[in-house]
Amino acid sequence: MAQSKFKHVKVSAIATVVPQREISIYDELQYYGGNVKKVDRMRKMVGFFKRRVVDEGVTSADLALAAAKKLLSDSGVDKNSIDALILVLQTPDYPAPASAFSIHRDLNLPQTCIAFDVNLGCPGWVYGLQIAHSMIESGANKKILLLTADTPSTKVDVSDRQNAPLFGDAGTATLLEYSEKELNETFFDLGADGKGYEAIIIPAGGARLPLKFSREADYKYIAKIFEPIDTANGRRVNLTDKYMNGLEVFNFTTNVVPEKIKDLVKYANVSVEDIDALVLHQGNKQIVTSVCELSGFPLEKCSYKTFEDFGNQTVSSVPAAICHTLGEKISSPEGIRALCSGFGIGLAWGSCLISLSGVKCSGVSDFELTDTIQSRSQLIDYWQKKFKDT
Amino acid sequence: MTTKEFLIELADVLQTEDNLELSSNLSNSEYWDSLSQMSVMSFLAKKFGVHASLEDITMTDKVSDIFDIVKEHIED
Repeated sequence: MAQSKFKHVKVSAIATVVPQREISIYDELQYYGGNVKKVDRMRKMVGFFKRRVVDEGVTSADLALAAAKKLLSDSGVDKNSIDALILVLQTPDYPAPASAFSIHRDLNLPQTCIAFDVNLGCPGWVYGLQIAHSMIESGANKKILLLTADTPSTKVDVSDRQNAPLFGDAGTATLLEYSEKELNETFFDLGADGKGYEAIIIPAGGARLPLKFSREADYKYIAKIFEPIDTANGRRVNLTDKYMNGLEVFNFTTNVVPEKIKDLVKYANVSVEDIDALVLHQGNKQIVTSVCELSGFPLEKCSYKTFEDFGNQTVSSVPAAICHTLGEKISSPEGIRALCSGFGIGLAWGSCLISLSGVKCSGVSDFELTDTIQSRSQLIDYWQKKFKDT
Repeated sequence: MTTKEFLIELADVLQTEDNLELSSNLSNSEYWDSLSQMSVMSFLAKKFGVHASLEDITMTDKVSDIFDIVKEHIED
């Protein structure tokens, strides 16, 4: 059982950035034969409503960078005092190096600040938080910037009605600091079950099924990888698309996660009444309400509003829900005690019980498109020239 | 919970205005999709503490197949 606790780490600032482009499920009636009643039913059952999606060319790293800039500007923290940058994402800008380095460059962080990526999805913020707590409490680091970002909308076709209305894009930034003074303890419970490795997966594009054209023989495989597959529920996909066995994931979520949340409550030696808010991964309304009730929490302590307003933001959904629904409370000196839990791809789960007070919360801000974001054509020209000049 | 109450609650879970009977066919109905299946799994877990298997749910043909999963919790 991967449980741990920490006494000298404080979350001092948090920010979320979402793209400006908002899509409501009611804007997409054409995919439902204009049947408003059907859309109403989906909204009531699953909570489908609005989501934010990136414009062409905007990547996860762009959203993470924007969230980091927002946090640094609002909190006034000296960036030279940051000694670690952790970026949790599954859609890096390039296969190598880690996207954390480009953010390190763009934030102009000092050379004394280490930077690395962590490849995790929905449980990723809690995992990143635990990694940051471990690094700080060990004495290795004093101030860590934890970033999360994902652009799941770019991985699904808008006509894919099973997945497209579900996902929204976002980036978040969380600042953690060492505290000399002993604080309320933060408790963690993390876990993984690799047997569910294939439950959520993108089969092609990595080392097993590379999208590489260096030999003639590669073309045969590339054609197969992009060959359209018609699914039983009417979707047309190929092996570069995200495969998700929604029922298997839901089954795991309702069977495993509530028990793990109960384990954490027990480990922290508290009761549900001592916890002000339950912040769950915003998978969808069904997932949030089921996990909440099965964990023994009243629904009043848990919200799925972030899913309704922004969609399932995968790795960013927990910190985004904090910014969206608890900003005022965590900014107050009294603060709150929140149990946060992320779960999904891996399969993996991570929960923490954390006291949040006096946090500089920037809420949820819109991403502003800048001219530094290059189109694919510009990037191809850039890299071709770079290779030629070498 | 009685059978009648079960059928009313199930109709609410499935968000259908149809009057469900134990013999009602689900597998061919327009409202039996993966979202409904998730809702039913959640309903069974929350109301009866029963974790239905994926096979139970995906192989469901009629309302009675769902009823059978929890019939020991039904009063009449």
